[in-house]
Amino acid sequence: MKPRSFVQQLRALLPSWKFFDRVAMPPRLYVRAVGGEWQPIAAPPRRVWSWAFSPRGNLALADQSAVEHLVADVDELDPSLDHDAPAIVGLVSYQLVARIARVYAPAGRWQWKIVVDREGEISDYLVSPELAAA
Amino acid sequence: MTFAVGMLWIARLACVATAIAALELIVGHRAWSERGVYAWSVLKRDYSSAGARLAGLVLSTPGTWLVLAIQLASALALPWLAQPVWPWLAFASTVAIAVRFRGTFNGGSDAMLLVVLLGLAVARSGAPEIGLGYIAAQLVLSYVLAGIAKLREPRWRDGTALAALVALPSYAVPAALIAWISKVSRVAGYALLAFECGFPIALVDPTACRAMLAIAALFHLGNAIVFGLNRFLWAWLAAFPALLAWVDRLR
Repeated sequence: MKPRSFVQQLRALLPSWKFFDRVAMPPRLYVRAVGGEWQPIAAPPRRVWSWAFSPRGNLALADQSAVEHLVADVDELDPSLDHDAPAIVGLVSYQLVARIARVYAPAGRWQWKIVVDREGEISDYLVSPELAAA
Repeated sequence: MTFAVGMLWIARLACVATAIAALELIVGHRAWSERGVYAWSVLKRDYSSAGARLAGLVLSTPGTWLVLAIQLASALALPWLAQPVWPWLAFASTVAIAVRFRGTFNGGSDAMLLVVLLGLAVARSGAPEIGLGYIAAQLVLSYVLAGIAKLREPRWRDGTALAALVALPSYAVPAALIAWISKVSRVAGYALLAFECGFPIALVDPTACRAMLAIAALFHLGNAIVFGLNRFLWAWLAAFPALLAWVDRLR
């Protein structure tokens, strides 16, 4: 596996100052019990004090950021790869998203997937294999 | 505002911003423990084997607890103890936390917090003009570059961007707020573009600077309430005294 570059690890020191410049539906993570309906991972409820202190809210934003990193990482790979190819499953970002999904996993055998919206076309981007009960 | 008063207010507000960053991760420690999502056993695969051993001293679960303790202690020391070591420690621990989360935990707010802590550390190390000048310059850039980037997006130019943004599920904006914002989104969107692109007006004189910073504070408070971006509020507020001090100096 290719180690992450030093510059990527220090990107907080190199701000781009671009906020909300692109208005597009970000990739979303879904989970389902095998054979059941796909459910999106819901953001945590907002509390009265969330404007000042929001550990769960910021963790949810970090989780969303991990999903976006996985999509960016997979975009750089050969598009003909299977969803369970070692080059994809071995990505650190894949492992992180799999662990995020596991937090929301329903009972029994289950799956997760990422859905993307590319210029208005909504499609499954990455679908996990069926997984044993969490 | 003198440079000395500016540095004191930066220290007070950076204390709040840094302490919140540390406390939020302490409260959510399960997420970065070995059984959590952001386990070091997963993240260390980003490093070569030698690099992982070295980084693990700081970024493993016990190492992260130590880094968070240093981040919190140095944050609380900032307003009370004037030695340069405290902002340097707060800066180094905040960098370590960002690196642990693959570059950043909370995007732009991490970046501005690091700008503020680095500027304060340089200022307390004997170069207040450079330290506060760095923070002030980054503060102005943060608005102007954000405004220019939005101007390139057609939906910001046609006034539909804000309504679309508040409806994105990742921000979980309450339905009542979405409905209210949608009614004023076109006007509010254009006002935001004008504010961000026109922010250099703050450099003209101290009154203009105070007016622009008052608008900016309301803007960040609104973002914290609507989008839940609480860390941005505190990190940007901590940068304001640097610009005030410099604009007053140039008067």
